Amino acid sequence: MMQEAATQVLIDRSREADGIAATVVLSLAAHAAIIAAIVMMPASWRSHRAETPRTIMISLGGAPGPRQGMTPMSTRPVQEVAAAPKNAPLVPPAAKAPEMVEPLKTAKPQPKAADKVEKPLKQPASKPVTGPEIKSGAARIETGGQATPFGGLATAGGGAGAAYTDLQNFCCPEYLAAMTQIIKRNWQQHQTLDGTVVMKFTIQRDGTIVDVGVEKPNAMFLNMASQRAITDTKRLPPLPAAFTEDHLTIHLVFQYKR
Amino acid sequence: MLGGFALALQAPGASQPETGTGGVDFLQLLAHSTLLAKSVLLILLLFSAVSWAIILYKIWQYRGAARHTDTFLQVFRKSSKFSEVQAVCPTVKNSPLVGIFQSGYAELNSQLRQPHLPPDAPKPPAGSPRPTLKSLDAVDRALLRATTVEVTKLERRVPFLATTASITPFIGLFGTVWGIMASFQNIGVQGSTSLNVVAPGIADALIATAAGLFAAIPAVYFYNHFTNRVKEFAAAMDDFSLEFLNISERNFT
Repeated sequence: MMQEAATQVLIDRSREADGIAATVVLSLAAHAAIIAAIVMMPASWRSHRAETPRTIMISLGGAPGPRQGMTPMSTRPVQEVAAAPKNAPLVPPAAKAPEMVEPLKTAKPQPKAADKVEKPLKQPASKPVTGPEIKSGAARIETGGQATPFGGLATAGGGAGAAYTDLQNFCCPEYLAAMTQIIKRNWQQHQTLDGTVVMKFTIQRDGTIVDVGVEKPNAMFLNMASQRAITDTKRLPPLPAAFTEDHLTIHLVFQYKR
Repeated sequence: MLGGFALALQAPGASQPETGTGGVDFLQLLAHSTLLAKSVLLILLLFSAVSWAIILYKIWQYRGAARHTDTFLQVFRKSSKFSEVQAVCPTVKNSPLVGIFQSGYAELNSQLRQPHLPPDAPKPPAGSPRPTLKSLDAVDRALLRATTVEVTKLERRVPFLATTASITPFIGLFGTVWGIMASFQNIGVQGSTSLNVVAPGIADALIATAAGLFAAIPAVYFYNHFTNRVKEFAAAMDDFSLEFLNISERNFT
């Protein structure tokens, strides 16, 4: 017999069944469970949430935005700073002789008729409206409203200057207008692509621009063009005194046209 | 064309409102992906499932082996007769040392039974010296054979982990490259390089690489871990073989 004494032991040992089948089933079940969990879990866990900041949107061109105003009533325009009121006597305008009166051949002109000529209506726009300071507005009467160069019913609609806002408590829209004008000067709008880039930056109290960043990126060179427009604007006017925070975060939308 | 220039302003400290989900949901991407991308993911899933099955099985096997080895060594060092140890062996059969012991014991038995004595040889007188071994080397060889068998048993299926670790990244990479090719074709067809055209395809394609890494990383870790465990067991087996030889030499020569 050729078989060694130890051989039978070794054959028996190496033939022992292993329990791999059970763990294969276990592992497949675990994978199926994980996949099911991924499929079942709320969609917000799997994907990045795009956070939309609470913003005022002011559009200086393109299609008009939705018609919503910060203040539904605009203010009365003031074109001239009022001088100190004087107690000048009110002089009624002199009665003018009527022109183009058909001559009466038979009757003499009646002198009494001249007295009955109506005084001409005073035109409200004939004189500059005066007030304590010059401001823009569209109301005909003093409403006490906030002057909103971009907002309000007065300017809503139309191509340029369409505006819509949803921030209720920023005091000084004039500042934003000035800021956009300055930045627009450094901005190259016409690129080889259509697209929109949202930039975010912060204006310090003294008007310096810090923390410039791309908030909603688009193509690389559109991002760079937007960034250049802001960084080339090295300095802005200081924040208005009526704005009490020490810095102001701006989200600026650059819409590029081909 | 009117210049578009828009401005948005954020009030300092204004609370961020909860918005709906934006961005890209990869399940939707997957649903629209090609058959090839799906089959790549399926292959990767199978690799992952099988390698995890092996991982779990091996953890369980090595834990049982270590526990039985401890018990076996306690019994072995306390007993004075190999036959006592042999009786205990079936209860601790998961230990690789048991295989070595049984193999050595079988060899010893076959030598000590002295079947080769000529039938007319005089019977050994009563009180004669103990039976002696003819060849200690034969016992040593039996132990070596057993060690090889036991190490093979411990290593069984572990190489699959190495295979998984090395090829699943490549399979994933293949899926990604294929998906990016499709994206570029899409650029050509649509004539647009806008992100809307390119990004979903690339995001979809990258899922394959992620899945490949997902399968490969545990496989690499546990392959190294198990290789190390097998080395430890092999060292314990060598040690036990020498111990067994020593005892045999002392008692049977």
